[in-house]
Amino acid sequence: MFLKMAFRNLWRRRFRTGITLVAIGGSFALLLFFVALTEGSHRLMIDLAIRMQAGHVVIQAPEFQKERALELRVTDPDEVMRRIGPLPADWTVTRRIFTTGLLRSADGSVMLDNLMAVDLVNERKISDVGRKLVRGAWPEPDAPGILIGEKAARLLKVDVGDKVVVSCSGLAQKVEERFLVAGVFRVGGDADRGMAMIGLARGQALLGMGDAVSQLAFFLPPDDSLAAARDLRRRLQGTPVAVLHWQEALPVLTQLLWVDDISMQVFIFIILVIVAAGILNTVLMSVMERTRELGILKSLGMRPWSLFRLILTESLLMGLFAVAVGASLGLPLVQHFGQVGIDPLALTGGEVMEMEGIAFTDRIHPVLSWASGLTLTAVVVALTLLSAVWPALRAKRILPVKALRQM
Amino acid sequence: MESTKTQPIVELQDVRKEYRQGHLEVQAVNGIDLTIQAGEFTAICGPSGSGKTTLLNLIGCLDTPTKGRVLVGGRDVSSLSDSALADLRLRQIGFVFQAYNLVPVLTAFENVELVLALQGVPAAARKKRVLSILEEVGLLELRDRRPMDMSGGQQQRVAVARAVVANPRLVLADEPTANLDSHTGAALLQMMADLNREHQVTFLFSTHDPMVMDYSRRIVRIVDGKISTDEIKARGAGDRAPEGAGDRAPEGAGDRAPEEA
Repeated sequence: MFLKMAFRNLWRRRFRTGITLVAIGGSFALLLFFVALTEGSHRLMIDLAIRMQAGHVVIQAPEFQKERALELRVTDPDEVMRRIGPLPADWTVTRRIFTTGLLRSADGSVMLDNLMAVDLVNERKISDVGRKLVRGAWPEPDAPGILIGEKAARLLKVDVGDKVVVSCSGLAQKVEERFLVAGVFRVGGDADRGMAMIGLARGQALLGMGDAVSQLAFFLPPDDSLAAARDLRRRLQGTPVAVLHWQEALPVLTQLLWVDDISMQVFIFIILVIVAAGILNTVLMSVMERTRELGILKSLGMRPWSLFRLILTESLLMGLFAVAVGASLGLPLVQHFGQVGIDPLALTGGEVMEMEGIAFTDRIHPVLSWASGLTLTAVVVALTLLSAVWPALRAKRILPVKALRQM
Repeated sequence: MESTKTQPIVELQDVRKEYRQGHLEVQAVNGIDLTIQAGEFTAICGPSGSGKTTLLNLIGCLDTPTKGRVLVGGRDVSSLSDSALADLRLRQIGFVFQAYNLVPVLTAFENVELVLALQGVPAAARKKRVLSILEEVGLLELRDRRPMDMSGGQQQRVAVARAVVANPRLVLADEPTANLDSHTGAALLQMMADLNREHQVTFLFSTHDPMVMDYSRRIVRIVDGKISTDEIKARGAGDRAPEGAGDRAPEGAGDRAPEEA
């Protein structure tokens, strides 16, 4: 009876209720899409940054995070792996040395601010560079191959098969060695100029590192990463290495994501305030124009709090309908763009977003997690209820004798 | 009067009600003492502004007196909370308003059912009772219509059914015939007179309609917020005469009015 009344009251002003529903539903759809876009872009950023710069979990010398110096190294990575023991089948571990250097050809030179010597077999499984080769191929582990960026290749006027010289500081002395360009990549941003990749064994030999590496990077299912970091930390307790979760290994990214989350929440808050004002207006109008009718209900014996509940129920129904409308608009949108993706350049007006030498040029696929979707739904429904509290209190306080005098 | 031996259902003791209208202080009810016994069929009449609606509102616990005591069913209502007053109205008092005041989104059936639903009566019992009362007021066929699809007379009959459905001790009717033609008004009064006689429902009217006074067995006249006369008649126009003695009701009264457009 109560619900029936609330439902019918909602629909007695179809046009007004319809407009409010579309407004709330539209805002909800917009928020769903916005949250999905943010989640999608965050996943992309995390994924790219992890592949290029770290891992879901990394093991390195304790001071390496502060200063990326060759001396700050994991001297016996095999011992570390032995201490860790067998790994789950869906984990990949790659070993890396990070340094800087100079890349020269007969026609010029470029500074390398990220010269990486990597385990070519395992790095290939996870690296973004492998996917983004514009010419040539991933080098064979034993060959003196090097992967360079497209901008560097242009500056040095070299291409696949050409010789280049890498000069850098080894552990003991300045060193240099010739490499053959195996492939040219385009990952976007400064990395196309200042990043190069060689095989680990050659790198170790060149730099005089022995078996040492700068970093052991672990790639695993993202949801397991925090637990994995804890587990690895426990196993390696007492050894001279640091185990870092990607959030610790990539502090700039972590901070950027945090700031982005805050701005998303501010945006959501602003939209919700506007929505709340709309609901408040609708419910208040509905209460005020029904003052006489609500007075009648009260004079018939409806208790003040029942009247309060009636108004809240009407608002709750409106919220639920609006969420249904919003979901039916927003979810297909999320699904469509989740499949086809969105060009990030379209979002930034043609400007490539770059952070810590990583350019985000891949298409963003909006993705909505259950947690975000349900939280947003709960927030919107709770908001419709909250917005109706004041009008409902007014309804509760209606004096029948005054209400009945109204026409 | 037959009901003088029963406990008073309403007692007003030196009741006064003042309110402000702009800068003016209006004395709507000015020291009224009145006792209504269970089973009465009483009209409070007087010119516009005499205070009869205010008096009815005070008796119906819709308003509180500035001074004096209002006792409904022996309880002083001035000390009751909003919720307790609502409960008292729900269980002891039925209302019939001049403007019908049905809930527009509910059907005739649901409007009558509402009071029982508020009382927490189970659905099956509600249905049985509502159908029975709708049959009594001749609206069984129209039970699924909403107020906007019914004539004034039909709406007022629904309002009466709503007022009596929960067997209240007292039904307050504020100008119930004011918006009805005389034929429909007479039929409605006859229906209420029948309910009064058959179910001992106490009716208290506020009116200046001579026909309502004709049907009432007691007429309390109010002028300027004070009782000027309190007249008790042997019987009202709606009382069925003993078999064979004819009916005192005016011509047409008690018949069902033809459905209005």
